[in-house]
Amino acid sequence: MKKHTSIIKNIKKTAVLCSTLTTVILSSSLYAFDWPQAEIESDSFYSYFGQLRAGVISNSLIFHESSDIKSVDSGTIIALISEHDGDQGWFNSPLGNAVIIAHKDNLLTVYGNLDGSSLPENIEKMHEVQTGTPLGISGNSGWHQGNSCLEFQVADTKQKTSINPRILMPRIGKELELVIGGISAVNKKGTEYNFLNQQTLPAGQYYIYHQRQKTAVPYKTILSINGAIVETLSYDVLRQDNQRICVSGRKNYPVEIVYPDDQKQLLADITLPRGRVVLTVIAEDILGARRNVSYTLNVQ
Amino acid sequence: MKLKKNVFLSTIFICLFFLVYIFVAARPLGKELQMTPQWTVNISPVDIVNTQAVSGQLPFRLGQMMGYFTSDGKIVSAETFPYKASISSNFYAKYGSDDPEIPFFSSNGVQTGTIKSSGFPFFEDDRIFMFFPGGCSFMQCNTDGTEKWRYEGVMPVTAFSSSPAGCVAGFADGTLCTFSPAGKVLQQFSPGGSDYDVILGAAYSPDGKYVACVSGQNRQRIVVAKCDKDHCIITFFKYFNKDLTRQTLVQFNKKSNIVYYNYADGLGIVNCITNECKEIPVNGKVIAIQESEKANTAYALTKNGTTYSVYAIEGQNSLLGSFSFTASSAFILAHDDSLFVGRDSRISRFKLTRN
Repeated sequence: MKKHTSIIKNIKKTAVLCSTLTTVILSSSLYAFDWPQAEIESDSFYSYFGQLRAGVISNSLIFHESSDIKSVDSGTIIALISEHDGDQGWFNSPLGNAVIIAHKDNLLTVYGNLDGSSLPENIEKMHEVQTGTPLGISGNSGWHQGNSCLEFQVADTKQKTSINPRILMPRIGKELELVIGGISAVNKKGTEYNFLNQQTLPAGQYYIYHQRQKTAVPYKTILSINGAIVETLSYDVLRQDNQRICVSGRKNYPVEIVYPDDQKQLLADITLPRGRVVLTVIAEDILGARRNVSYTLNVQ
Repeated sequence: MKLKKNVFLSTIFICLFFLVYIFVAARPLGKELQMTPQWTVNISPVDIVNTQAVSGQLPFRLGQMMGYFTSDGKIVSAETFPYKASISSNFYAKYGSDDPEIPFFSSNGVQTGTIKSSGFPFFEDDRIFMFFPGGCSFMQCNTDGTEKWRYEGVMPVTAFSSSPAGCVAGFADGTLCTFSPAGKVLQQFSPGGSDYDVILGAAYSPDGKYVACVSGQNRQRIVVAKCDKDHCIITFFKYFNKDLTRQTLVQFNKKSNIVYYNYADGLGIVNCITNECKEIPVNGKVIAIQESEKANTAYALTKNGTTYSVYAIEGQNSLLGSFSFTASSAFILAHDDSLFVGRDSRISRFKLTRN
């Protein structure tokens, strides 16, 4: 009987151990990258990938507050960008002091806005790094606003795209709430129709916009007409097209189309046909949670 | 008797041979380069606003101070800046971490224009560039600060320089791209040849015929390419024994026939016409190369911690000598027959002569 109990105990211990191991292995394999600094809640970033930042579509994920910075995966340091404050004739990168690491699968990670004095003493001799290798402390050496600190980027050198780092990183806590509102249509002549008080408009080609949120960026926006999806804009990657950073949908859209001003963000480039049109806008966050709003339009 | 005669004839012959050799083989000794100190001035802040332009103003930047001086030792202007600044012989600007727009000034202190964008400006002679937040995009501006053309990318710019022929940008994915002054992409290629492609330093020759870069990790190399209409042909490359990860200097001379580059062990010099390469060991990172056409010499300023060294190089490949000093910031500038050396809060002029 005693022996039987002992066997059961051992089985239980093994099960617990297996379960713990499975959890650890799963959690570590679910995401390609670790955190580049201390973990923060999903709704606590200073600025998100795809947001309008000083006139360009940002390909950075920007963290609040200074923190110890570490490599998100094993790899090879391929470049150190420096502030050249004392030296004449060198361009100053808005990344300030930055470390660029090449990883497997043609991925590069960029750690910008680091404090120069905090960089490891032997950083110029460091080549291979492991997950968690210290890279210094985030500071204010680059272009930055307020108390924004680490500027983190992920690039795919094969596809020539910038990847939303949050796809590859662990996520904790709730996402920032997406708000869909202030839907308007702007035709090629620049005439604007605000759907809140103007549901009648002439047929033709329009850019459809919604009110830009100052911090949150949808992971995806979907626009459908009478139930059929006509445009999906995705903020998982940013592409370069004709020397411009673009958000991709049916076409690639540069900043002056995606963010024509501080207030608007593009939803679609569509042609509205004559008749009664039900226009539905869906905004989706990175976890797949959706918000939607519909308008019935009288297109003449 | 016969032996004595032979010895006598041999002696005469040897004497005649040496006599002829002395006159035929003699070549004049090269004139020695002399650096004669002319003056040293201390810099203290001098704000010059809306003054008449002084001809031949030379820019300086030392630590958190920048301004202009003349070759006779007058500090025309000297301003401190709290965050960052850019200065060239034509323009200067002070800027903050996120200024929404950046006014810039000509060398006589008159506001020339405003760059109505946020980012970090960069002036080279009369060329104005603006690097946008994120470090992957930039634009060239007109002389009033308005946008001339822009390039937006998704890879960080790791190397950049310009010349009258246009500009060259090197990227973290190993792409090298040259642009015309109007913003047209002239050539775009990846030098490759290494395990990891990255551009750490790049230059575009003043005549637009050559582009050069230090590229790659795990077999880093210098690459010189001749630019044709639509493509570049690599005419010279050399692998290094050690790799650098920091940004490094690559620079053409004014005649566009020599390119200087900094590698892990020193300074390299490539003759673009003959493809000959000479390497000179130097102490530290090369932060500036200046040429004196009058003295037919080039000068390299290197930095190793707080030790700065100035190396004088004759022609294309002979190291004439060097001197070192301790400072927290320094610069060199060659102009006419002089070399100016800035050190913390002082500037000195050395006259370059050949005797």
